[in-house]
Amino acid sequence: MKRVVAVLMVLGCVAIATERASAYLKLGSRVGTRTVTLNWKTFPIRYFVTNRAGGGVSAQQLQTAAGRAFGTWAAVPTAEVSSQFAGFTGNTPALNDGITTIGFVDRPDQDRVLGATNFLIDTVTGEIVESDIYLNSTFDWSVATSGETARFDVESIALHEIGHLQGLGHSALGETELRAGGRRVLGAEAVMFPIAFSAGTIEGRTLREDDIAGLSDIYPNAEYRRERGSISGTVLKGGRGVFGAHVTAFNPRTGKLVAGFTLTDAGAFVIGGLEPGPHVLRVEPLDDGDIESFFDLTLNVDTNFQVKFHDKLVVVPRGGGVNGVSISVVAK
Amino acid sequence: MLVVAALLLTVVPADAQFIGKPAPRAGTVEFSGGGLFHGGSDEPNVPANLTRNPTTGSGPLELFKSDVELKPAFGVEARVGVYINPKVSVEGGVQVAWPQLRASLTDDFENAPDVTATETLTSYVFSGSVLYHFGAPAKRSHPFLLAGAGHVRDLHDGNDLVETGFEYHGGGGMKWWLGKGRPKAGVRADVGVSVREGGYGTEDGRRIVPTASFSFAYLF
Repeated sequence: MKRVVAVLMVLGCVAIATERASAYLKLGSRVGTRTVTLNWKTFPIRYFVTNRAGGGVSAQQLQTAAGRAFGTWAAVPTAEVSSQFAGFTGNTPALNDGITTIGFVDRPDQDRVLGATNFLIDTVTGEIVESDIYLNSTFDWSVATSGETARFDVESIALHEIGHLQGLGHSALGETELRAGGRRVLGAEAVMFPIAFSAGTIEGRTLREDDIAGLSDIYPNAEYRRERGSISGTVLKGGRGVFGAHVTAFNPRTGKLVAGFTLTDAGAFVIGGLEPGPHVLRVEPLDDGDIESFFDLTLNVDTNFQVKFHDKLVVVPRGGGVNGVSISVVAK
Repeated sequence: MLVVAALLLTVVPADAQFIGKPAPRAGTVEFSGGGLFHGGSDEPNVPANLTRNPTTGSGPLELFKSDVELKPAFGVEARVGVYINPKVSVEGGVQVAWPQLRASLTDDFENAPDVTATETLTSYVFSGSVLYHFGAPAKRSHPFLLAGAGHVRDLHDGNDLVETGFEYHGGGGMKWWLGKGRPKAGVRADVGVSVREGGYGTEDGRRIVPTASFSFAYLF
């Protein structure tokens, strides 16, 4: 089969969201009428680090922090991923040179973008051939253990970008407020939320349940298949499907939150990676980030409906799925 | 609690005596079946929290509150017992009840209307007990104390998920044997507590559930 490659770019983590990105919970490539999930087919993922300092952080410090971030993802107990530092390189990220590279790049034109990830993909199989991450050295960075005032934490942002590198899109599991100049995140329960916590914080170094579910959905191991379950259903408004509704599953026993979107015109959603047991479902419009941080703007995302809880507890089976959940919402 | 129950039960006067051969005796088999009630339990309240951006305040950002409780339930039970001697018997039984699990969802950060989300469990308890009967065997009413243990199977809505555990129970009650001559039929009332580990409930947690039942009994 002829291999077709394409370049895809995700603006990973932004200080304040204004830029466009194309991303879902899982990144996908359209092949005819179906979407194939982007993922790595061979492990470990071998990556290089650009031999260049940026924002007050040396290349060696970047490599150490990126190594910790790769290690955090590799430690997810229900997924199978691994990585290997291959060495320093003079090449810069975002260069389609066949090697996966992480490094600092001066991007003063992207004054609100902390970092971004791009891909070289096989558009037929969805295999990620190469992925590069750049951190914008226009910002001040830190690798201090407890963070550093007014400097963004390299490990936190690297953790987010490496999530993209592995095929994860953005999560909408967070709350924001609009301020002069853009949105500010008030709280989030996913490293893959598109807007970073404020400079000086290190909360982004810890994966949340939503991140773990997302990674495990792409690279499931036997434990994931055996122990986790899913909920699927539809969100309807006036009897018609709602596209782009944000559906959150909450486990009232553990407090864990995992979310997904309705991704068809029929309003269909699937939330995977859930622990067995009863779950609360909550539906809300995508109003805590710019829509383009999650979906292509050509898609008709419906945000005109009220937040709603489902009135049934939905029981997730072990190693299986519960289907046919139907949630009706009403216009604002 | 068991001591108090024993004191209360042992002062109940016997109202009549059997005529003829005392019953029950060693080897007598007792069947009983009837209705039961078991109390509910409050589960720990676990809010839906987001990790707060530290520059916007302290503590987690609460997306909404969740107050979970297992409601009291009615059910049915059946037991079979064998008397070791006129005072002591052992019995096994099964109980089935249908408690409702309710999660009250309030104080949503984005003002979603409050909702109580529910599901109904089918809760099975397979148990074994030892009973000690007070009073003379020839009397028609027998207070008793019992203690035992069992296996809990909580089957969730949809029948796709079972959560299992153990329970330990203790309590007491009264049996009244009816009719003239050597009695065959009677009624039985039980009260007690069941301490449950596993099943639906907090992980590694323990629930104390008050129980009561009323049964018809028959001796063979």
